[in-house]
Amino acid sequence: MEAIILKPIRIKSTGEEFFPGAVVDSEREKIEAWAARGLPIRGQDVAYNEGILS
Amino acid sequence: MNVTLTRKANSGGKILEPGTLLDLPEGKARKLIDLGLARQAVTLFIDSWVTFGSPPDQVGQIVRLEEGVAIVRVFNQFGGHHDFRCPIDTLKPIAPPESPLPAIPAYRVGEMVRYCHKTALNVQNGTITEIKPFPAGAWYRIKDGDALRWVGEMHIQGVINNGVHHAAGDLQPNIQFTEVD
Repeated sequence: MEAIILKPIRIKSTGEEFFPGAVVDSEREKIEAWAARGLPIRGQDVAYNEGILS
Repeated sequence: MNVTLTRKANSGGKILEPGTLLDLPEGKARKLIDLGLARQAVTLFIDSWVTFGSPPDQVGQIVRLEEGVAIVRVFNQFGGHHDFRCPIDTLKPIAPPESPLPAIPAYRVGEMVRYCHKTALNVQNGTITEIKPFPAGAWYRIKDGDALRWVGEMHIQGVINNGVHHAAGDLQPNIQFTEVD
């Protein structure tokens, strides 16, 4: 599943870093877990976090 | 459409007192309103979403209701709002809008960009250190020498040097990464 990152993230296991605007292709569960942690993510069927605006 | 009579009316021999609530077809109701015999009944509530304007192009949320008038709050893309006093019969209820999605930033942290500062002719270079995406477009915090400025996307002309993350190594520690599994 693809998601667009709106905040810099680093993936622990691989050390990969993604900047806002980057498209990440990962497992749906993982992306949903990131969204659940409040990371602003935009992707199909993934609720994004509005906290970015605060 | 619900209307409230403002004057005594005769309906098929039956006298209706002012204040009587009637549910009429819209054409009839509008006619009564135009004749000054009735006004639109309040079918809107605080928190209802409405459109208004001519043509109806503004979308807002009712925050207060007074006699025949609603205070409608229109939100802007920067987290602020404006309140408008609108006659209730000019408002059309709508379903609550979906939250607007933030725009996808066109530039990335670490990129060196050419941007306009204060005037269109004053073009400067700086490096993006932070991004805030808003529905209407992203804002970028740009480090330009000792200055740090917030600049809207429309004021950025383009990237000077792609992949400048390495060249701007001094900025790297300032980037706040969130670690994920």
